[in-house]
Amino acid sequence: MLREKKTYTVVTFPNTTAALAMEAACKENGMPGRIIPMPSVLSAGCGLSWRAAEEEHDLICAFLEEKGLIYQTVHVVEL
Amino acid sequence: MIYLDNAATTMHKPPQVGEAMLEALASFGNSARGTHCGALDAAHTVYRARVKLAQFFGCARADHVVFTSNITESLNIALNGMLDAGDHVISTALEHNSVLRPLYRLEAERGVALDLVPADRKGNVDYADFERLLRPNTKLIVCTHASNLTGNIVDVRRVAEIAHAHGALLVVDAAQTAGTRPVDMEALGADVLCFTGHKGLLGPQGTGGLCIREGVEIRPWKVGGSGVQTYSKTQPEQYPTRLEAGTMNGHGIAGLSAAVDYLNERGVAEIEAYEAALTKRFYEGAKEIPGVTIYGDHSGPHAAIVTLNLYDWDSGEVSDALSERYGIATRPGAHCAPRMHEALGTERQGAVRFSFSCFTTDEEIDAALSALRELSGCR
Repeated sequence: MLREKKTYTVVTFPNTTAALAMEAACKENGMPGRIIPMPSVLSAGCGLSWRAAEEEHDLICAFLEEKGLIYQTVHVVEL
Repeated sequence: MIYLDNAATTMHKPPQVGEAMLEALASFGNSARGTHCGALDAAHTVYRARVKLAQFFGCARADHVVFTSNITESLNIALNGMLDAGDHVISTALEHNSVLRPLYRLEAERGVALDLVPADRKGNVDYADFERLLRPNTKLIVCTHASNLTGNIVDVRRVAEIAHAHGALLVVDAAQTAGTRPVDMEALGADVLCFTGHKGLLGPQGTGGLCIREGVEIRPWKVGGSGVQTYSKTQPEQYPTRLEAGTMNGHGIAGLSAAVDYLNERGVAEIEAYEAALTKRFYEGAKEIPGVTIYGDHSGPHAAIVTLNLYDWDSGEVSDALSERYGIATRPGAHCAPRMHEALGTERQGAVRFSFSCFTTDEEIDAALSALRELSGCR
């Protein structure tokens, strides 16, 4: 195991541009989290996702809606 | 060298363009291919460039700014991705071959019907011709914002109103205007705005793109690696990924992004006024020189282009003399604008195009006029 498993909030996006728009909006507004590679438990293949702490789930969901950001799904998942 | 071939490509770039490219060459991974810092550096730069260009061109969504290698690729993507068998398309005699050849091929291979609005001897269109040529199946109008040969500006807003009143879309070729005058796709009414990075935008060759209005559908002509949805057998549907298969020109886009910063700092309105003054200075001087015939309509707004001939001399010989004797770079011949030359009656002679940039100086204009006067006296 590379590191201890923990539960996170993970947002997936249809493409890189949408993920980077999320990153830019989060940085601008002091939102928690960072870009990570797409976890294989969520989708086989590649791409970028946004990972934040589990307890930030509601905050992240509200932020996505408030800013009208393009995303696919918000997951709570052990990584 | 006095470089007056800026309508082909601008040679003088702001220094930060090269600096940004060198930095990118030394630090970029592959944009949208992983999350290590090299890949993210590249991805962030490409993303910031999208946001800047969306603002620069009045494109409502940054993810609807698609990068290409040049405007020819942009126009091919738009035209091939929007026109189907049975569609009708209208364009103009002012167009460059980057518009005309894709249309001719669509006509021959896909059964697309094509009509061209003619130009008069001054290189102008009659806007009533767009109305006259419309059919129930007219899918789109594609036209240049400014002729690359005469520099005449087309009233794109007027063309958009005609197209939209009949349910057609408008694709605009902004090769000669982007970066040199305000180009706002909302203000112009463009549904698709095609641009190149290496002319008035002052970026490097190998960059270009298209801005797409939300809701406009363009099929991809190339499919492949996208960095997302790897196990899908089809290209991702979402813009810009839909139209950007393969590794992007991240190094070039870094330079283009720096160029847009320069344009924003200097101000496009200032550049427009500066180039208009250069163009007027050259035009007013050249028209007094014996043997000079100037093409196009200089009575109104104009791109920074003055195209002329000296007597009945071959345009290539005049351009070569300017280069060899005076170190002045111009463009002779047909300028990839065959229908425009036919309208002007210059198919055989071609014409000598002088085109200016925001780095051209009054002294360079005067040196070119002086050279033309000397050549004129050689008769």
